[in-house]
Amino acid sequence: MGAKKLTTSDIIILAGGGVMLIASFLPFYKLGDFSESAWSKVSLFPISWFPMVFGLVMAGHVAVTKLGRSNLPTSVLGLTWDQVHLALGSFAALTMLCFLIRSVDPVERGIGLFLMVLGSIALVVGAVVRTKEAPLAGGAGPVPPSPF
Amino acid sequence: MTTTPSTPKILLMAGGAVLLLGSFLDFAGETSAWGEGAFPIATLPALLGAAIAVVVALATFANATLSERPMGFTWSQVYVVVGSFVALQMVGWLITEGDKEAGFFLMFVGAGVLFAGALMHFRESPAAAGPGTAPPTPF
Repeated sequence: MGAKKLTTSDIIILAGGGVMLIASFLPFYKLGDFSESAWSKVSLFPISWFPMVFGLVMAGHVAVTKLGRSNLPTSVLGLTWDQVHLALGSFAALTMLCFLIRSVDPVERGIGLFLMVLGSIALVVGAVVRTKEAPLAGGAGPVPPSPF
Repeated sequence: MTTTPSTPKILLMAGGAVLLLGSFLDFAGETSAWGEGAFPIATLPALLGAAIAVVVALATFANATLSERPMGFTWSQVYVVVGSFVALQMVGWLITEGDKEAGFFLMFVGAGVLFAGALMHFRESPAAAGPGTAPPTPF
């Protein structure tokens, strides 16, 4: 059994999750020669770390379902995977936007923070594109008419 | 006509109110969740909790007509998703460095109440049966 073909949303989510993971190790905040990554307590770990985890869950799900064999449930707590992606992507982007707005004078924002913002936006875009590619199972769609 | 809210709805409204109230008290040091350095990251759980409380109150007391499925989610699912995120954020704040004050602990309790209300509301809803679950037809 081979790997399934990747869709546009899959590629966006995989890229977004990858960017989030790499960026989390880059300077999140910096002051002069000193910098701290998203894994540092100074950067409000684990609040700064959650968006990266959300991205990894989304990218991991895509990788497992498309690149390998999986027996994952079709729903989680009554949510379809499309909905899980939409929720995780939205919360990742919302959290990163909060970090972007947050006043941190005299500390400066680092490249890691900016890349994580971009990665989180990619995640939410990927999640939205994913819902357009396949309607939400169990969502708002009408029930097909019964032949009886 | 006054409608008596169910226990999950009371918990959702109370949790949101406690979150919002706690956000105005000292969160860490002498800063509230609205203060410099904390806003808007520490404020986010309070805003989300308050939004849930307002939606539940409008639907319960004002008979407001809400979108049946916002972005494909049922309202029970929205409460669970937002409640989980708010609870996760507050647990995250608990782990962060620094002394926490009364405002934080009030928000922590509010997040727990909101999450419990969301889970109870979800368990009572048809969405808990899972997606695509249709009632059996007689044919």
